[in-house]
Amino acid sequence: MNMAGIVAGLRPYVLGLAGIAVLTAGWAVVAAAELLDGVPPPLEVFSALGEQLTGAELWRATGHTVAVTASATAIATVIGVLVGAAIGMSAMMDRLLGSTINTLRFVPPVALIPVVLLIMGFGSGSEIVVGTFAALWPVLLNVAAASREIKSRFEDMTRIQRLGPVRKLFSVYVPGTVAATITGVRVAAALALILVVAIEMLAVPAGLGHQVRFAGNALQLPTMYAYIVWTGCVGLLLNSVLQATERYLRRP
Amino acid sequence: MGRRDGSGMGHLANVLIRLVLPAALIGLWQVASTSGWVNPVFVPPPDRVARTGYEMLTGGDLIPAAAATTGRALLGLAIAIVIAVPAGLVFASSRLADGLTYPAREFFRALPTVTIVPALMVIVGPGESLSVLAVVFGAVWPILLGTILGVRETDRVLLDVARVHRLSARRAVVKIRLPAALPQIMTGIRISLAIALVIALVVEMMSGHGGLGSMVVEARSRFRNTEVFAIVAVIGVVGLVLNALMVRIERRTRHDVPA
Repeated sequence: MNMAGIVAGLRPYVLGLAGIAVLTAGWAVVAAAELLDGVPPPLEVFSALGEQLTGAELWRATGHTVAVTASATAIATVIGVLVGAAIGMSAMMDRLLGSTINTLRFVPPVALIPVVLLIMGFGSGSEIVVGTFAALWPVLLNVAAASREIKSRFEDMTRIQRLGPVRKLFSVYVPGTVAATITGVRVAAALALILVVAIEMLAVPAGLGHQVRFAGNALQLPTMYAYIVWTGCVGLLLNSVLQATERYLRRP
Repeated sequence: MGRRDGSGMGHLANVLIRLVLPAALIGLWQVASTSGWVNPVFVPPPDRVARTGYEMLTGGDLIPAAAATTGRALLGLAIAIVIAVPAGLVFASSRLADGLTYPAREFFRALPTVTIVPALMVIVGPGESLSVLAVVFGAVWPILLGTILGVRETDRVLLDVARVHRLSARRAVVKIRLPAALPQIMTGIRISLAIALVIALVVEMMSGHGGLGSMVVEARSRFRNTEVFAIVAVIGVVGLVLNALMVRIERRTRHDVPA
Protein backbone atom coordinates (compact mmCIF):
# COMPACT_ATOMS: atom_id res chain seq x y z
CA MET A 1 0.00 0.00 0.00
CA ASN A 2 1.34 3.43 -0.84
CA MET A 3 1.57 6.33 1.54
CA ALA A 4 -1.59 8.06 0.30
CA GLY A 5 -3.58 4.85 0.76
CA ILE A 6 -2.39 4.47 4.33
CA VAL A 7 -3.26 8.09 5.09
CA ALA A 8 -6.73 7.67 3.58
CA GLY A 9 -7.24 4.47 5.57
CA LEU A 10 -6.20 6.09 8.82
CA ARG A 11 -8.28 9.22 8.24
CA PRO A 12 -11.50 8.01 9.95
CA TYR A 13 -9.58 6.87 13.04
CA VAL A 14 -7.60 10.10 13.29
CA LEU A 15 -10.72 12.21 12.83
CA GLY A 16 -12.69 10.11 15.29
CA LEU A 17 -9.98 10.31 17.93
CA ALA A 18 -9.71 14.05 17.35
CA GLY A 19 -13.47 14.36 17.85
CA ILE A 20 -13.32 12.43 21.12
CA ALA A 21 -10.34 14.53 22.22
CA VAL A 22 -12.27 17.76 21.50
CA LEU A 23 -15.29 16.42 23.40
CA THR A 24 -13.15 15.42 26.40
CA ALA A 25 -11.36 18.79 26.33
CA GLY A 26 -14.73 20.55 26.31
CA TRP A 27 -15.80 18.44 29.27
CA ALA A 28 -12.55 19.29 31.09
CA VAL A 29 -13.14 23.02 30.50
CA VAL A 30 -16.73 22.81 31.73
CA ALA A 31 -15.58 20.97 34.86
CA ALA A 32 -12.60 23.24 35.51
CA ALA A 33 -14.60 26.44 35.07
CA GLU A 34 -17.45 24.92 37.12
CA LEU A 35 -19.98 25.93 34.47
CA LEU A 36 -22.27 23.11 35.57
CA ASP A 37 -22.82 21.85 39.10
CA GLY A 38 -21.80 18.30 39.77
CA VAL A 39 -19.67 17.59 36.72
CA PRO A 40 -16.36 16.05 37.83
CA PRO A 41 -13.30 16.54 35.59
CA PRO A 42 -12.59 13.72 33.11
CA LEU A 43 -9.32 12.83 34.82
CA GLU A 44 -11.13 12.01 38.07
CA VAL A 45 -13.77 10.01 36.20
CA PHE A 46 -11.22 7.96 34.32
CA SER A 47 -9.18 7.27 37.44
CA ALA A 48 -12.40 6.20 39.17
CA LEU A 49 -13.13 3.96 36.20
CA GLY A 50 -9.64 2.48 36.41
CA GLU A 51 -10.14 1.83 40.11
CA GLN A 52 -13.48 0.11 39.45
CA LEU A 53 -12.04 -1.92 36.59
CA THR A 54 -9.50 -3.47 38.94
CA GLY A 55 -12.13 -4.23 41.60
CA ALA A 56 -14.69 -7.03 41.68
CA GLU A 57 -17.84 -4.94 42.03
CA LEU A 58 -17.91 -3.55 38.48
CA TRP A 59 -17.43 -6.98 36.95
CA ARG A 60 -20.10 -8.54 39.12
CA ALA A 61 -22.54 -5.77 38.14
CA THR A 62 -21.59 -6.08 34.46
CA GLY A 63 -21.99 -9.85 34.57
CA HIS A 64 -25.42 -9.50 36.15
CA THR A 65 -26.71 -6.91 33.68
CA VAL A 66 -25.29 -8.71 30.63
CA ALA A 67 -26.62 -12.10 31.77
CA VAL A 68 -30.11 -10.72 32.43
CA THR A 69 -30.13 -8.82 29.12
CA ALA A 70 -28.98 -11.93 27.25
CA SER A 71 -31.62 -14.12 28.92
CA ALA A 72 -34.37 -11.62 28.12
CA THR A 73 -33.19 -11.34 24.51
CA ALA A 74 -32.96 -15.12 24.15
CA ILE A 75 -36.47 -15.71 25.51
CA ALA A 76 -37.84 -12.90 23.35
CA THR A 77 -36.12 -14.40 20.30
CA VAL A 78 -37.65 -17.84 20.80
CA ILE A 79 -41.16 -16.44 21.36
CA GLY A 80 -40.76 -13.84 18.62
CA VAL A 81 -39.57 -16.33 15.98
CA LEU A 82 -42.31 -18.87 16.73
CA VAL A 83 -45.19 -16.38 16.97
CA GLY A 84 -43.85 -14.22 14.12
CA ALA A 85 -43.50 -17.21 11.79
CA ALA A 86 -46.95 -18.46 12.80
CA ILE A 87 -48.69 -15.18 11.98
CA GLY A 88 -46.70 -14.81 8.75
CA MET A 89 -47.54 -18.38 7.79
CA SER A 90 -51.26 -18.40 8.46
CA ALA A 91 -53.84 -15.69 7.84
CA MET A 92 -55.96 -17.23 10.59
CA MET A 93 -53.21 -16.82 13.20
CA ASP A 94 -52.67 -13.27 11.97
CA ARG A 95 -56.33 -12.45 12.54
CA LEU A 96 -56.34 -14.20 15.90
CA LEU A 97 -53.17 -12.57 17.31
CA GLY A 98 -52.66 -9.46 15.15
CA SER A 99 -54.81 -6.98 17.06
CA THR A 100 -53.50 -8.09 20.46
CA ILE A 101 -49.89 -7.78 19.25
CA ASN A 102 -50.55 -4.37 17.74
CA THR A 103 -52.02 -3.19 21.02
CA LEU A 104 -49.39 -4.61 23.35
CA ARG A 105 -46.36 -3.49 21.35
CA PHE A 106 -47.18 0.19 21.83
CA VAL A 107 -47.41 -0.10 25.61
CA PRO A 108 -44.28 1.64 26.93
CA PRO A 109 -42.38 -1.25 28.57
CA VAL A 110 -41.47 0.83 31.62
CA ALA A 111 -45.17 0.90 32.45
CA LEU A 112 -44.93 -2.81 33.21
CA ILE A 113 -42.24 -2.31 35.85
CA PRO A 114 -44.61 -1.51 38.78
CA VAL A 115 -46.95 -4.38 37.92
CA VAL A 116 -44.14 -6.91 37.45
CA LEU A 117 -42.59 -5.81 40.75
CA LEU A 118 -45.94 -6.38 42.48
CA ILE A 119 -46.25 -9.90 41.09
CA MET A 120 -42.65 -11.09 41.01
CA GLY A 121 -40.79 -9.01 43.57
CA PHE A 122 -37.42 -7.26 43.40
CA GLY A 123 -35.32 -9.97 41.74
CA SER A 124 -33.76 -10.95 38.43
CA GLY A 125 -37.05 -12.56 37.36
CA SER A 126 -38.70 -9.15 37.16
CA GLU A 127 -35.79 -7.80 35.12
CA ILE A 128 -36.04 -10.67 32.66
CA VAL A 129 -39.81 -10.30 32.24
CA VAL A 130 -39.63 -6.55 31.55
CA GLY A 131 -36.61 -6.97 29.26
CA THR A 132 -38.35 -9.76 27.35
CA PHE A 133 -41.46 -7.66 26.87
CA ALA A 134 -39.39 -4.85 25.36
CA ALA A 135 -37.25 -7.17 23.22
CA LEU A 136 -40.10 -9.25 21.84
CA TRP A 137 -41.58 -6.85 19.26
CA PRO A 138 -38.62 -6.16 16.96
CA VAL A 139 -37.97 -9.91 16.57
CA LEU A 140 -41.63 -10.81 16.16
CA LEU A 141 -42.39 -8.12 13.57
CA ASN A 142 -39.23 -8.76 11.54
CA VAL A 143 -39.88 -12.50 11.44
CA ALA A 144 -43.56 -11.98 10.58
CA ALA A 145 -42.64 -9.75 7.63
CA ALA A 146 -40.00 -12.20 6.40
CA SER A 147 -42.37 -15.17 6.75
CA ARG A 148 -45.02 -13.40 4.68
CA GLU A 149 -42.46 -13.09 1.92
CA ILE A 150 -41.49 -16.76 2.23
CA LYS A 151 -45.14 -17.70 2.08
CA SER A 152 -45.71 -15.84 -1.17
CA ARG A 153 -42.66 -17.54 -2.71
CA PHE A 154 -42.73 -21.07 -1.35
CA GLU A 155 -46.33 -21.81 -0.38
CA ASP A 156 -46.96 -23.97 -3.46
CA MET A 157 -43.88 -26.01 -2.77
CA THR A 158 -44.81 -26.70 0.85
CA ARG A 159 -48.25 -27.72 -0.36
CA ILE A 160 -46.79 -30.18 -2.89
CA GLN A 161 -44.57 -31.62 -0.18
CA ARG A 162 -47.67 -32.00 2.03
CA LEU A 163 -45.92 -30.57 5.04
CA GLY A 164 -48.01 -30.29 8.18
CA PRO A 165 -48.12 -26.87 9.86
CA VAL A 166 -45.60 -27.80 12.56
CA ARG A 167 -43.10 -29.34 10.10
CA LYS A 168 -43.63 -26.34 7.81
CA LEU A 169 -42.90 -23.97 10.71
CA PHE A 170 -39.67 -25.69 11.74
CA SER A 171 -38.32 -26.85 8.38
CA VAL A 172 -39.21 -23.86 6.16
CA TYR A 173 -40.14 -20.73 8.08
CA VAL A 174 -37.78 -20.75 11.06
CA PRO A 175 -34.62 -21.46 8.99
CA GLY A 176 -35.83 -19.13 6.22
CA THR A 177 -36.06 -16.14 8.53
CA VAL A 178 -32.63 -16.34 10.19
CA ALA A 179 -31.36 -13.09 8.65
CA ALA A 180 -34.52 -11.22 9.61
CA THR A 181 -34.27 -12.70 13.10
CA ILE A 182 -30.75 -11.46 13.72
CA THR A 183 -31.68 -7.94 12.60
CA GLY A 184 -34.55 -8.06 15.06
CA VAL A 185 -32.27 -9.44 17.77
CA ARG A 186 -29.83 -6.52 17.38
CA VAL A 187 -32.60 -3.98 17.98
CA ALA A 188 -34.13 -6.19 20.67
CA ALA A 189 -30.90 -6.50 22.68
CA ALA A 190 -30.46 -2.71 22.74
CA LEU A 191 -34.04 -2.28 24.01
CA ALA A 192 -33.64 -5.06 26.57
CA LEU A 193 -30.47 -3.41 27.89
CA ILE A 194 -32.27 -0.06 28.30
CA LEU A 195 -35.11 -1.67 30.22
CA VAL A 196 -32.86 -3.85 32.37
CA VAL A 197 -30.76 -0.82 33.35
CA ALA A 198 -33.94 1.18 33.99
CA ILE A 199 -35.47 -1.41 36.32
CA GLU A 200 -32.12 -1.76 38.11
CA MET A 201 -32.08 1.98 38.67
CA LEU A 202 -35.68 2.03 39.87
CA ALA A 203 -36.03 -1.06 41.98
CA VAL A 204 -33.83 -4.14 41.65
CA PRO A 205 -30.69 -3.72 43.77
CA ALA A 206 -28.17 -5.30 41.37
CA GLY A 207 -26.32 -4.64 38.14
CA LEU A 208 -24.99 -1.56 36.36
CA GLY A 209 -28.17 0.49 36.74
CA HIS A 210 -28.07 0.02 40.50
CA GLN A 211 -24.39 1.02 40.61
CA VAL A 212 -25.07 4.27 38.72
CA ARG A 213 -27.97 5.15 40.98
CA PHE A 214 -26.17 4.08 44.15
CA ALA A 215 -23.07 6.16 43.36
CA GLY A 216 -25.33 9.10 42.44
CA ASN A 217 -27.25 8.89 45.71
CA ALA A 218 -23.98 8.70 47.64
CA LEU A 219 -22.79 11.75 45.63
CA GLN A 220 -19.71 9.84 44.52
CA LEU A 221 -19.86 11.68 41.23
CA PRO A 222 -16.64 10.41 39.59
CA THR A 223 -17.74 6.83 40.29
CA MET A 224 -21.21 7.54 38.92
CA TYR A 225 -19.79 8.98 35.70
CA ALA A 226 -17.33 6.08 35.48
CA TYR A 227 -20.28 3.67 35.57
CA ILE A 228 -22.17 5.70 32.95
CA VAL A 229 -19.14 5.60 30.62
CA TRP A 230 -18.70 1.90 31.30
CA THR A 231 -22.39 1.16 30.61
CA GLY A 232 -22.00 2.94 27.28
CA CYS A 233 -18.96 0.77 26.49
CA VAL A 234 -20.95 -2.37 27.33
CA GLY A 235 -23.78 -1.21 25.06
CA LEU A 236 -21.31 -0.42 22.28
CA LEU A 237 -19.66 -3.83 22.59
CA LEU A 238 -23.00 -5.64 22.60
CA ASN A 239 -24.11 -3.73 19.52
CA SER A 240 -20.83 -4.35 17.66
CA VAL A 241 -20.92 -8.10 18.33
CA LEU A 242 -24.50 -8.37 17.08
CA GLN A 243 -23.77 -6.15 14.06
CA ALA A 244 -20.82 -8.37 13.10
CA THR A 245 -23.01 -11.46 13.49
CA GLU A 246 -25.66 -9.87 11.31
CA ARG A 247 -23.11 -9.03 8.60
CA TYR A 248 -21.80 -12.60 8.75
CA LEU A 249 -25.28 -14.14 8.41
CA ARG A 250 -26.31 -11.76 5.64
CA ARG A 251 -23.11 -12.23 3.61
CA PRO A 252 -23.84 -13.05 -0.02
CA MET B 1 -54.00 -8.80 6.97
CA GLY B 2 -56.58 -11.53 6.47
CA ARG B 3 -59.20 -11.94 3.81
CA ARG B 4 -61.38 -9.12 2.61
CA ASP B 5 -64.83 -10.42 1.73
CA GLY B 6 -66.44 -6.98 1.83
CA SER B 7 -69.72 -8.30 3.19
CA GLY B 8 -71.02 -7.06 6.53
CA MET B 9 -71.14 -10.53 8.04
CA GLY B 10 -67.57 -11.27 7.02
CA HIS B 11 -66.42 -8.02 8.58
CA LEU B 12 -68.25 -8.80 11.81
CA ALA B 13 -66.74 -12.29 11.95
CA ASN B 14 -63.33 -10.75 11.37
CA VAL B 15 -63.76 -8.31 14.24
CA LEU B 16 -65.00 -11.09 16.52
CA ILE B 17 -61.97 -13.28 15.72
CA ARG B 18 -59.65 -10.39 16.54
CA LEU B 19 -61.38 -9.99 19.91
CA VAL B 20 -61.15 -13.67 20.87
CA LEU B 21 -57.65 -13.56 22.32
CA PRO B 22 -57.98 -10.29 24.30
CA ALA B 23 -61.31 -11.47 25.69
CA ALA B 24 -59.85 -14.84 26.62
CA LEU B 25 -56.87 -13.23 28.35
CA ILE B 26 -59.04 -10.84 30.35
CA GLY B 27 -61.41 -13.70 31.21
CA LEU B 28 -58.51 -15.82 32.42
CA TRP B 29 -57.23 -12.92 34.52
CA GLN B 30 -60.69 -12.45 36.07
CA VAL B 31 -61.07 -16.14 36.91
CA ALA B 32 -57.50 -16.48 38.19
CA SER B 33 -57.95 -13.51 40.48
CA THR B 34 -61.45 -14.18 41.84
CA SER B 35 -60.93 -17.92 42.37
CA GLY B 36 -57.64 -17.36 44.15
CA TRP B 37 -55.14 -18.99 41.73
CA VAL B 38 -53.18 -15.80 42.12
CA ASN B 39 -53.29 -13.59 45.19
CA PRO B 40 -56.02 -10.98 44.48
CA VAL B 41 -54.18 -8.53 46.75
CA PHE B 42 -51.29 -8.45 44.28
CA VAL B 43 -53.29 -9.12 41.12
CA PRO B 44 -56.72 -7.50 41.52
CA PRO B 45 -59.41 -8.74 39.09
CA PRO B 46 -60.01 -6.67 35.92
CA ASP B 47 -63.50 -5.55 36.93
CA ARG B 48 -62.11 -3.89 40.06
CA VAL B 49 -59.27 -2.35 38.07
CA ALA B 50 -61.77 -0.97 35.55
CA ARG B 51 -63.95 0.49 38.32
CA THR B 52 -61.00 2.09 40.09
CA GLY B 53 -59.70 3.40 36.77
CA TYR B 54 -63.07 4.94 35.98
CA GLU B 55 -63.25 6.61 39.41
CA MET B 56 -59.74 7.99 39.01
CA LEU B 57 -60.50 9.26 35.51
CA THR B 58 -63.67 11.06 36.53
CA GLY B 59 -62.72 12.29 39.97
CA GLY B 60 -58.99 12.37 40.38
CA ASP B 61 -55.77 13.73 39.00
CA LEU B 62 -55.26 10.96 36.46
CA ILE B 63 -55.98 13.17 33.44
CA PRO B 64 -53.73 16.06 34.56
CA ALA B 65 -50.98 13.52 35.27
CA ALA B 66 -51.39 11.92 31.84
CA ALA B 67 -51.30 15.40 30.27
CA ALA B 68 -48.11 16.28 32.19
CA THR B 69 -46.31 13.12 31.09
CA THR B 70 -47.42 13.48 27.47
CA GLY B 71 -46.48 17.16 27.47
CA ARG B 72 -42.96 16.48 28.73
CA ALA B 73 -42.41 13.70 26.21
CA LEU B 74 -43.69 15.78 23.30
CA LEU B 75 -41.81 18.95 24.28
CA GLY B 76 -38.58 16.96 24.58
CA LEU B 77 -39.28 15.29 21.25
CA ALA B 78 -39.89 18.66 19.56
CA ILE B 79 -36.61 20.08 20.88
CA ALA B 80 -34.83 16.90 19.78
CA ILE B 81 -36.19 17.34 16.25
CA VAL B 82 -35.06 20.97 16.14
CA ILE B 83 -31.54 19.91 17.18
CA ALA B 84 -31.17 16.62 15.31
CA VAL B 85 -32.44 17.47 11.83
CA PRO B 86 -30.04 20.39 11.17
CA ALA B 87 -27.20 18.50 12.86
CA GLY B 88 -27.94 15.46 10.72
CA LEU B 89 -27.84 17.63 7.58
CA VAL B 90 -24.41 18.94 8.57
CA PHE B 91 -23.03 15.47 9.36
CA ALA B 92 -24.44 14.05 6.13
CA SER B 93 -23.00 16.77 3.91
CA SER B 94 -19.60 17.39 5.53
CA ARG B 95 -17.17 14.49 5.66
CA LEU B 96 -15.06 16.35 8.18
CA ALA B 97 -17.94 16.88 10.61
CA ASP B 98 -19.05 13.30 10.08
CA GLY B 99 -15.60 11.85 10.74
CA LEU B 100 -15.07 13.99 13.83
CA THR B 101 -18.33 13.03 15.49
CA TYR B 102 -18.83 9.43 14.32
CA PRO B 103 -17.31 7.52 17.29
CA ALA B 104 -18.90 9.87 19.82
CA ARG B 105 -22.28 9.48 18.09
CA GLU B 106 -21.97 5.69 18.11
CA PHE B 107 -21.12 5.77 21.82
CA PHE B 108 -24.11 7.88 22.79
CA ARG B 109 -26.42 5.85 20.55
CA ALA B 110 -25.32 2.63 22.26
CA LEU B 111 -25.45 4.12 25.78
CA PRO B 112 -28.76 3.13 27.41
CA THR B 113 -30.01 6.70 27.76
CA VAL B 114 -31.69 6.13 31.12
CA THR B 115 -28.24 5.93 32.75
CA ILE B 116 -27.68 9.66 32.31
CA VAL B 117 -30.79 10.52 34.36
CA PRO B 118 -28.96 10.40 37.74
CA ALA B 119 -26.23 12.62 36.29
CA LEU B 120 -28.80 15.13 35.02
CA MET B 121 -30.50 14.98 38.41
CA VAL B 122 -27.30 16.24 40.03
CA ILE B 123 -26.69 18.89 37.34
CA VAL B 124 -30.14 20.47 37.02
CA GLY B 125 -31.96 19.08 40.05
CA PRO B 126 -35.40 17.47 39.98
CA GLY B 127 -38.04 19.42 38.10
CA GLU B 128 -39.55 20.16 34.73
CA SER B 129 -36.24 20.85 33.00
CA LEU B 130 -34.82 17.50 34.17
CA SER B 131 -37.61 15.58 32.42
CA VAL B 132 -37.37 17.59 29.23
CA LEU B 133 -33.55 17.48 29.07
CA ALA B 134 -33.47 13.72 29.63
CA VAL B 135 -36.10 13.20 26.93
CA VAL B 136 -34.15 15.41 24.50
CA PHE B 137 -30.96 13.48 25.19
CA GLY B 138 -32.67 10.14 24.52
CA ALA B 139 -34.73 11.24 21.53
CA VAL B 140 -31.97 13.00 19.58
CA TRP B 141 -30.08 9.90 18.38
CA PRO B 142 -32.65 8.02 16.26
CA ILE B 143 -33.70 11.27 14.52
CA LEU B 144 -30.06 12.16 13.90
CA LEU B 145 -29.39 8.74 12.39
CA GLY B 146 -32.54 8.87 10.25
CA THR B 147 -31.62 12.31 8.91
CA ILE B 148 -28.04 11.30 8.10
CA LEU B 149 -29.10 8.10 6.31
CA GLY B 150 -31.96 9.82 4.50
CA VAL B 151 -29.89 12.76 3.25
CA ARG B 152 -26.97 10.55 2.27
CA GLU B 153 -29.18 8.30 0.16
CA THR B 154 -30.76 11.17 -1.74
CA ASP B 155 -31.17 10.06 -5.32
CA ARG B 156 -28.27 11.18 -7.54
CA VAL B 157 -30.79 12.06 -10.24
CA LEU B 158 -32.48 14.53 -7.92
CA LEU B 159 -29.12 16.14 -7.16
CA ASP B 160 -28.41 16.39 -10.88
CA VAL B 161 -31.74 18.12 -11.31
CA ALA B 162 -30.66 20.62 -8.65
CA ARG B 163 -27.41 21.20 -10.50
CA VAL B 164 -29.17 21.69 -13.84
CA HIS B 165 -31.48 24.23 -12.23
CA ARG B 166 -28.41 25.91 -10.69
CA LEU B 167 -29.88 25.79 -7.19
CA SER B 168 -27.52 27.19 -4.60
CA ALA B 169 -26.22 24.64 -2.09
CA ARG B 170 -28.54 25.98 0.58
CA ARG B 171 -31.61 25.92 -1.65
CA ALA B 172 -30.74 22.42 -2.83
CA VAL B 173 -30.79 21.29 0.79
CA VAL B 174 -34.18 22.85 1.51
CA LYS B 175 -35.82 21.97 -1.80
CA ILE B 176 -34.34 18.56 -2.56
CA ARG B 177 -32.36 16.87 0.18
CA LEU B 178 -34.67 17.47 3.15
CA PRO B 179 -37.90 16.44 1.36
CA ALA B 180 -36.19 13.35 -0.04
CA ALA B 181 -34.95 12.40 3.43
CA LEU B 182 -38.34 13.00 5.05
CA PRO B 183 -39.50 9.35 5.22
CA GLN B 184 -36.32 8.30 7.02
CA ILE B 185 -36.52 11.32 9.32
CA MET B 186 -40.11 10.38 10.18
CA THR B 187 -39.05 6.81 10.97
CA GLY B 188 -36.44 8.24 13.33
CA ILE B 189 -39.06 10.47 14.96
CA ARG B 190 -41.41 7.51 15.44
CA ILE B 191 -38.68 5.53 17.22
CA SER B 192 -37.81 8.61 19.27
CA LEU B 193 -41.43 9.08 20.30
CA ALA B 194 -41.44 5.68 21.99
CA ILE B 195 -38.12 6.47 23.68
CA ALA B 196 -39.37 9.91 24.76
CA LEU B 197 -42.34 8.39 26.55
CA VAL B 198 -40.19 5.76 28.25
CA ILE B 199 -37.69 8.36 29.48
CA ALA B 200 -40.36 10.79 30.64
CA LEU B 201 -41.88 7.97 32.70
CA VAL B 202 -38.53 6.80 34.12
CA VAL B 203 -37.62 10.33 35.20
CA GLU B 204 -40.99 10.73 36.87
CA MET B 205 -40.61 7.37 38.60
CA MET B 206 -37.15 8.34 39.88
CA SER B 207 -37.69 11.96 40.84
CA GLY B 208 -41.32 11.76 41.95
CA HIS B 209 -42.03 15.03 40.17
CA GLY B 210 -45.65 14.62 39.04
CA GLY B 211 -47.01 12.80 36.02
CA LEU B 212 -48.13 9.20 35.58
CA GLY B 213 -44.69 7.85 36.51
CA SER B 214 -44.62 9.25 40.02
CA MET B 215 -48.32 8.51 40.44
CA VAL B 216 -47.77 4.80 39.82
CA VAL B 217 -44.75 4.68 42.13
CA GLU B 218 -46.71 6.39 44.87
CA ALA B 219 -49.67 4.03 44.47
CA ARG B 220 -47.29 1.08 44.72
CA SER B 221 -45.56 2.37 47.83
CA ARG B 222 -48.98 2.75 49.50
CA PHE B 223 -49.99 -0.77 48.43
CA ARG B 224 -52.91 0.54 46.38
CA ASN B 225 -52.44 -2.23 43.88
CA THR B 226 -55.71 -1.77 42.02
CA GLU B 227 -54.64 1.81 41.32
CA VAL B 228 -51.25 0.56 40.07
CA PHE B 229 -52.96 -1.62 37.47
CA ALA B 230 -55.35 1.16 36.47
CA ILE B 231 -52.52 3.70 35.99
CA VAL B 232 -50.49 1.19 34.00
CA ALA B 233 -53.50 0.66 31.73
CA VAL B 234 -53.76 4.42 31.21
CA ILE B 235 -50.04 4.57 30.35
CA GLY B 236 -50.66 1.87 27.76
CA VAL B 237 -53.52 3.88 26.27
CA VAL B 238 -51.33 7.02 26.11
CA GLY B 239 -48.67 5.03 24.25
CA LEU B 240 -51.22 3.63 21.82
CA VAL B 241 -52.84 7.01 21.10
CA LEU B 242 -49.52 8.81 20.55
CA ASN B 243 -48.33 6.08 18.22
CA ALA B 244 -51.57 6.09 16.25
CA LEU B 245 -51.24 9.87 15.76
CA MET B 246 -47.63 9.42 14.70
CA VAL B 247 -48.51 6.75 12.13
CA ARG B 248 -51.14 9.08 10.69
CA ILE B 249 -48.68 11.98 10.39
CA GLU B 250 -46.07 9.66 8.91
CA ARG B 251 -48.49 8.42 6.28
CA ARG B 252 -49.35 11.99 5.31
CA THR B 253 -45.69 12.96 4.84
CA ARG B 254 -45.18 9.95 2.59
CA HIS B 255 -47.88 11.27 0.29
CA ASP B 256 -46.28 14.68 0.12
CA VAL B 257 -42.92 13.35 -0.99
CA PRO B 258 -42.49 13.77 -4.73
CA ALA B 259 -41.66 10.45 -6.30
